[in-house]
Amino acid sequence: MSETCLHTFAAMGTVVSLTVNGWGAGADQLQEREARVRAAISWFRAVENVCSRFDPASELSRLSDRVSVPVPVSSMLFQLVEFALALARGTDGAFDPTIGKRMEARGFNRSHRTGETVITEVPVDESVSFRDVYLDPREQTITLSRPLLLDLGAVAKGLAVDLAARELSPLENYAVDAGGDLYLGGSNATGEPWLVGIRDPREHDGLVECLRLSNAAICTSGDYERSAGPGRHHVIDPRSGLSASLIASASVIAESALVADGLATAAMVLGPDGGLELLRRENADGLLITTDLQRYASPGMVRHLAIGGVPVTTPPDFSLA
Amino acid sequence: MGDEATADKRSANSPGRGLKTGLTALGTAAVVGIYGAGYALTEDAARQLEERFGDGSEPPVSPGYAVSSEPVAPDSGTAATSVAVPADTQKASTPDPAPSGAEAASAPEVVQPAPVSAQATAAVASPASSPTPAPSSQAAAPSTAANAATPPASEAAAEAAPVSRFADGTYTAWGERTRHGDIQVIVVITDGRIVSAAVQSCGMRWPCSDINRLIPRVAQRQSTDVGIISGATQSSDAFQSAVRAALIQALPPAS
Repeated sequence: MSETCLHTFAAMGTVVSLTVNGWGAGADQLQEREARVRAAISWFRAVENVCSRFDPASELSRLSDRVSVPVPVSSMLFQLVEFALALARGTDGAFDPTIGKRMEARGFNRSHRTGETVITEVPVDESVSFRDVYLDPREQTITLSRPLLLDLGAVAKGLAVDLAARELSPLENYAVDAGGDLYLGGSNATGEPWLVGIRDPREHDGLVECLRLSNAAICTSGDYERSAGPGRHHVIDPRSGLSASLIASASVIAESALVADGLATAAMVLGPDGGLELLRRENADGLLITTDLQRYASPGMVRHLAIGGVPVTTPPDFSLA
Repeated sequence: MGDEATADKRSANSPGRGLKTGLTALGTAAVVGIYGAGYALTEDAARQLEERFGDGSEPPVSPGYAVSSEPVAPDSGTAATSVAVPADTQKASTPDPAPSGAEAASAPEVVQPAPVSAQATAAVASPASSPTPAPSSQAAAPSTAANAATPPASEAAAEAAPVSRFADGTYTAWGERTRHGDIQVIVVITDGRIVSAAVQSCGMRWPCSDINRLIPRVAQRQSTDVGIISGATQSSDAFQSAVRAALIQALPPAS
């Protein structure tokens, strides 16, 4: 058996790490591992190239230049937008991918890649919503009925994690960690399900919970990352235009990071009651911590808790913040 | 009354079979679909295929362009390669504003395969059992069966739609093993429609990227009738038979 192999690289505004455990050490196996790790990395690049709001050449950016015209798009962009719109419908607009311009106007306008500030020519219009986006599955086109800027940040990173995880899945024991979005396949280096800590949203060194996960995704969305100033974090309530204020951190477990990230983002906006109701409806588990540090867990969450709770001595394989 | 009881039993049974809730299934469909389509990103063979067939607009599956050594008979009877949804239910289950003219165009592709048709047609026909409008002549084409079910009672029509569609879920299946290997596919059904298909495992002697162009057609056509790629006949066959096997699993349980 080979040792744990770890690849770390920067993508999508965060540091991504790929871990593979206990894969065979034969020449063929090492070659396969290398090839799969390389392909997994290229999936992150591919998603970034298609979905970045900060790259004027991305497919997403080019889409916003065209209004009232059906624009043929790649199947990646089409299916991601399709999922984002379904999530928007399912949450009555608490999640809304048409929020891009308002994000930009609120100062989330700096490219992670280049550090440059990016201002698009799309006008600020508080009334645009997901209902202004039309999909034609047969022609695979997207039509924007008004000028708007899509932001797929919440789901694009989840998608990239899932695609990378799919690429690594023949290697059996692996993890894809992309700053808050995590997919865990098989088991960790000690042969047990992966141990994942959820950080305290206010005291960053502490953990509020430890979970055991295998073949599942978990995403945490928090009010403390990517702040554009006090009270101005990156999860905006599309209905009010203000930063979501009820939840400090939302962690959701699902079979894909795409779904987990989407639900976590929506739960941030919906608050504890609406958030738990959404998780119940979608059959997902999660832990929501409010800004006054109350904990709300879905009933099924108990199944994922690590026995013994937060470990005192062994650090978890991953910590989510 | 007996029909109602059967219907109840059926709906009580159906959630057991890999049924997933809306967003979860859609999310899985997106990941599977994008991964499948993206095969081309990593496989050199796909690029070679691209070069060989030029512009990349319409894949080389139409007759006359080097293809269909074994024609994919669009007319009924012998075609054993196609599992299809009746056009009516397909339309009913599509909430998106799709051009309805184009929907109709897909009707000729509604071809029932030999083993499946009996089951599917029976499922469609049974709720309309009341005064039996069509004297169950065995060879009723699926679309006619659906039509026959629609007019008499609105209840029956409402019943017919969910029954004849595929059961939601994620299905995997291997195809019929060819001389040169086999393919395992994953097919995702949401709201009774095929939303995505992808190669899960490629056990062929050649890269499965050779048949990349066939993959999105399963969802586009709601059918296994996706054609054959010249030079990759065996892979095409394995793919089609795998999709068919997956869709057979997805048929609603017979009452």
